[in-house]
Amino acid sequence: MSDGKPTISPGGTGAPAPRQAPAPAGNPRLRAGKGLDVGTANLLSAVQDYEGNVIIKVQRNAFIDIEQNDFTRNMLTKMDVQYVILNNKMVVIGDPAFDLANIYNRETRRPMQDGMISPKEKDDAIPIEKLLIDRLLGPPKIKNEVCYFSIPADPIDAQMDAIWHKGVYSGICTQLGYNPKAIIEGHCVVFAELDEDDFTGIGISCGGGMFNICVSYKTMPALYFATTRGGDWIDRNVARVLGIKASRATAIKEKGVDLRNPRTNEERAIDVYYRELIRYTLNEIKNRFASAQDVPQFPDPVDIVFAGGTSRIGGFIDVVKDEFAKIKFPIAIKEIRRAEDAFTSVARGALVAAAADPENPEE
Amino acid sequence: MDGDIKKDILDVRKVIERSTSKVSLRDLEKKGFRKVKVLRAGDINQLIYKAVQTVLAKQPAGLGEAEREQVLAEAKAEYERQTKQLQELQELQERAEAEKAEAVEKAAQIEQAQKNLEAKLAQANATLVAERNKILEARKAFEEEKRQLEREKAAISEKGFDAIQAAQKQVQELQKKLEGVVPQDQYNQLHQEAREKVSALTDKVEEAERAARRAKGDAEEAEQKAAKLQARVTELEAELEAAVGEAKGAVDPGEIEKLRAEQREMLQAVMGAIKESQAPAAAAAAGGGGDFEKSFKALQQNLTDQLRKFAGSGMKGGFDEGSTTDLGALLAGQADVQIETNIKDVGVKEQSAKGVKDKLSKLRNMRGGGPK
Repeated sequence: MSDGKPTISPGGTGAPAPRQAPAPAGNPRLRAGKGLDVGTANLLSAVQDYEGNVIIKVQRNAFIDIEQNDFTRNMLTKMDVQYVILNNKMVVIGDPAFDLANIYNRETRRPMQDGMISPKEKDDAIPIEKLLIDRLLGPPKIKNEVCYFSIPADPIDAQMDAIWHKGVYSGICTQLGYNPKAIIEGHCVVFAELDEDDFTGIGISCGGGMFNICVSYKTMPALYFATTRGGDWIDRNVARVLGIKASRATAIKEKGVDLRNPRTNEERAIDVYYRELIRYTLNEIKNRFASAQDVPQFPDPVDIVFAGGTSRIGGFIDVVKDEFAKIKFPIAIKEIRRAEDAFTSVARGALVAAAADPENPEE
Repeated sequence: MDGDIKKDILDVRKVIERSTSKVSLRDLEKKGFRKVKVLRAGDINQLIYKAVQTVLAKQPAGLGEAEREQVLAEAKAEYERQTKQLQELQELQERAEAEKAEAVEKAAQIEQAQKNLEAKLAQANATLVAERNKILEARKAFEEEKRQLEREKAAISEKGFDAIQAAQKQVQELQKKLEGVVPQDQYNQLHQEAREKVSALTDKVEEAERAARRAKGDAEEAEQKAAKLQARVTELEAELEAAVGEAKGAVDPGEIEKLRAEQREMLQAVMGAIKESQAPAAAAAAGGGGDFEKSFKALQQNLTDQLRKFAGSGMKGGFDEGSTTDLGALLAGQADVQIETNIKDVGVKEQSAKGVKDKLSKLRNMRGGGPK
């Protein structure tokens, strides 16, 4: 390791030699092919073993600077808290960063914002993302192991695209020895939740930065787009009206709120903004469908499945159904439901895509 | 016999006076007594006499002392009984008269109430009669207006019918004229063709508008990409200059080669991005992209010149645009920084999730591959 001052290598003529991990004794034998959910709030990886079990690893996609000294270094390691020394700063990363932010009443810093790599954190974001992803994926099982990572679709309510974002994460995965492939986040939900409907229907990933929508017909994504309001939008607005930090609003939200029965002022504020978010999303989807000529005409009614951390709040589907009843949706819908394991849907969907990829070599 | 009693028996008036009290007529009136019965002293004497006679008649002749006293006592009792009886009769009479007065008063009230009701009834009847008259007048006016409207309607129908007839005549005349110029079938056909042409032109206009919007979007996208890439080029240029400055004392051809390769890759990626974004946008986008190309080539030449300067002769100029690279991989190269961390010493949260075997199997089947 260096003396703490980052150095920039002049770059090589090619990617570094691929890393391969020996099979650790006692650990399950893993199949080739990994899924990576690159989310604004959380990073998740998914891999399956030969027993058919799926193992998910989770890291909160956040960091926070703290005072640097030897005592702190030792204490953090003993407490199982991850840190890095970056640009002469000690930076705590992952879940502990979130906990520390709440303790010190500060905001966490986020490598991603509104669904994509953050322009504000460009100096620190990429090295930290690489570290986090490295911990999640681990070394590749085989040379150029296929890794599908989720990317957002282009939003319909903002001037943005995912080209830069895709390039950054593709580069990180390549650096780590993988064969990276991008997959639209909404499409991951289709793979994870609509197998019983022949992968036909609408998958919606409710993330921290964005909601990603994918209309799929028999595994093929026919239409996909995103809206730029997500869980972070709720946290920001709740924080603003209540005069608290956004991290605090996130903690309240994640502790357990039921939109059908808010008990405190904080929960009521969360309920108000959740309803507005759902109303906004459904209207944007309806307008997009109404204005597009490429909306598929399904022969039978289809399901809408919601997934993602932002959809996990109590009463979410009830509110969606309430708001859905108020609009005239252009596609016939059979059922509106939430994924059983909404938090890991995108990662599992990416895993399915990776495992089924023809480039995934046989062992 | 007691002397006092004897004395009292003889002087009834005094006895009465002693055992009664005087009450003024005003007080009686206040108590509600408008009429009272008056009992004269003579009547009282008479009563006593009657009482004594009644008792004596019952007794045999030759009364002794005890018997006389008994007689007196019985007389007294008889007197009291008769007095009481008289009082009761008087009270009954007074009550009856009071009730009679009350009944008279009530009768007067009832009579008054009846008079009031009759007056109100008369008033209500008068009001109803007035309303009825108003309604009758309104109906009369309505009938009159209705007749007037019917007359006007008949007049308008007549005029309308005349107008329709006149219009029909005009149409027939026009048709006769047109028949001389263009046959009806030909006219219909021309009309249909004209309509189809207009519809086709409208579709073309819409298509052209859509293409223009797409071209505009593509041009904006290309500009944004070019701006981002230009910024990155500026950064790399600065880094290169710094690197050049540091390495001036000790020139390493290997380092220079690496820099050139990096530059080559970057240029290729930029050119690829520009070409990709310019393709559908034709003249407008190409104009902007062409200017950007020129400035980028100038920058490239500048970098090459700098390299030549510090590395001396032997360096060949020009870039090979033949190789391709992934821009993201290039830019993510900055992730390859040397940093101190304990991340490998700390565990990562793991959890199990629902299996994906079934989904995988289905996906492979639908895509035509078998299970692995």
